Amino acid sequence: MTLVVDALGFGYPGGAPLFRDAEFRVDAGSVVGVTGPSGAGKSTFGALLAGDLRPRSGVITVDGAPLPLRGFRPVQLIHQHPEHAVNRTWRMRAVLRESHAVPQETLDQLGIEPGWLDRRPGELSGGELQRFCIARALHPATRYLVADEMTAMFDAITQATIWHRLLAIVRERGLGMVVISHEPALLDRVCDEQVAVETLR
Amino acid sequence: MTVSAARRPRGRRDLLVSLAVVVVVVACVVAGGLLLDPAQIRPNAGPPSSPPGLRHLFGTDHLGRDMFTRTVHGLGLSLAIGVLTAAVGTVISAVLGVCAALFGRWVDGLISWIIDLAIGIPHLIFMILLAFVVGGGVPGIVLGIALTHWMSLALLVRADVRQIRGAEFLLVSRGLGRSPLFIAWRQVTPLILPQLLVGFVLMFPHVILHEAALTFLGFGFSPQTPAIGILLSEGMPHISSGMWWLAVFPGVTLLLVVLAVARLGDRIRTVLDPATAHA
Repeated sequence: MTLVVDALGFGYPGGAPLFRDAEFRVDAGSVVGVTGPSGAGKSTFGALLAGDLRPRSGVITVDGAPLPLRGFRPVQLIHQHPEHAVNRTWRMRAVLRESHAVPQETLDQLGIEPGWLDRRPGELSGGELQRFCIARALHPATRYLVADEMTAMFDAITQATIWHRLLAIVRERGLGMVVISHEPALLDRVCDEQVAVETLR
Repeated sequence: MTVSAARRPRGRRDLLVSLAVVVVVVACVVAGGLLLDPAQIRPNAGPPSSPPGLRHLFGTDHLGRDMFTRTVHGLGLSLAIGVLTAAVGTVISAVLGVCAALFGRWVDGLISWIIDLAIGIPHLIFMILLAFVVGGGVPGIVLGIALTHWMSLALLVRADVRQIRGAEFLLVSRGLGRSPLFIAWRQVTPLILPQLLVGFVLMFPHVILHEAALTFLGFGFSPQTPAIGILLSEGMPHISSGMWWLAVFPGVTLLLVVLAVARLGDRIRTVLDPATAHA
């Protein structure tokens, strides 16, 4: 039960290759940190893992099967800016339903209050919105989570709350997790191992 | 004016005024169509060729038909055709614009080619051709005008959707296994709805004027229908003989309705534009 990246090659059109023969693996139930300076390709790597970008060469397999090209992807990406990751014309109830019928238990674990469900994204704070994005990513079929600077824009207390609650759920479900961040303190705290993105290039 | 109305933003107040004008005009036309005696549009309803007076507000034509009743019926027909045609045109624009922006380079190339082609044809000639092929009447007018007036709105929609097509929430939607159709309909359409609304209202006056033009040229309604275009084409030869009321009243009322709706469209755009940029 592993997310395996094998001989991955990728570059943006017209640009130099960003990754060449990159090898990377995350076991289910473990938390791997990806570090690196700005512009080193951390977010691109996250998008490749989640299937939002297609690799030029190499394969990404999830528990032995290649990452599906269409349909639900078992690797879900949580973005840095939640306000960009939800449609501003939708109510939060619809945002959750787009993924699955999120059980009340998950909502309680993430601290989502029932009153928030009938609001639109513009009527919630960033921290509140990000909880919805996390709840949405926790589809029953999700095997791995990629958190791309998930809490970089929040104050320390909100950061701590969100990480506490998410890691509890991840451990409970035995999910694998990739944490992309340039905050060493956070990575030291939540990750089992850390990989510098430069080693993938 | 009340205090609360004065405090409202100016754009919104203007919008409410224009909306009220349009609602009153439409209500008058609908009420007139229901309440006025249909016998008045038959020949010999009054003395032939009488100038405007109390009994016949807009006068009568050479067959003694009451011009006021005919004008109101004609406006009702114009409004109905206008709504129908503008709706058809808006739907075509929305579907093609969204498909061009979302469904890949090949679809975009094809649709852009169709748009360029349709813009390239002089639209009056294209419209006459379409109306002639379909055989006049309501289908001819609706198709003829709708198929010649969707291009500019389709280009706007395409440009709008291109701006949001790389948005993160669309990537998330795809990652959750949602189909391109779901994304186009549920995610993208609500975001371009203001643009579509403005396009619909601004298309409406074009449609009414073109309907009158097509009918005037003889490719629209049959002569016994009390359409504004028929009234105008019937009235034109009589202007030189002094019967000015036959063409002036239908023409002026049509102009007023068109101006009211066009103004409403402009004001909706004024109010919605900043909102679409910020909200």
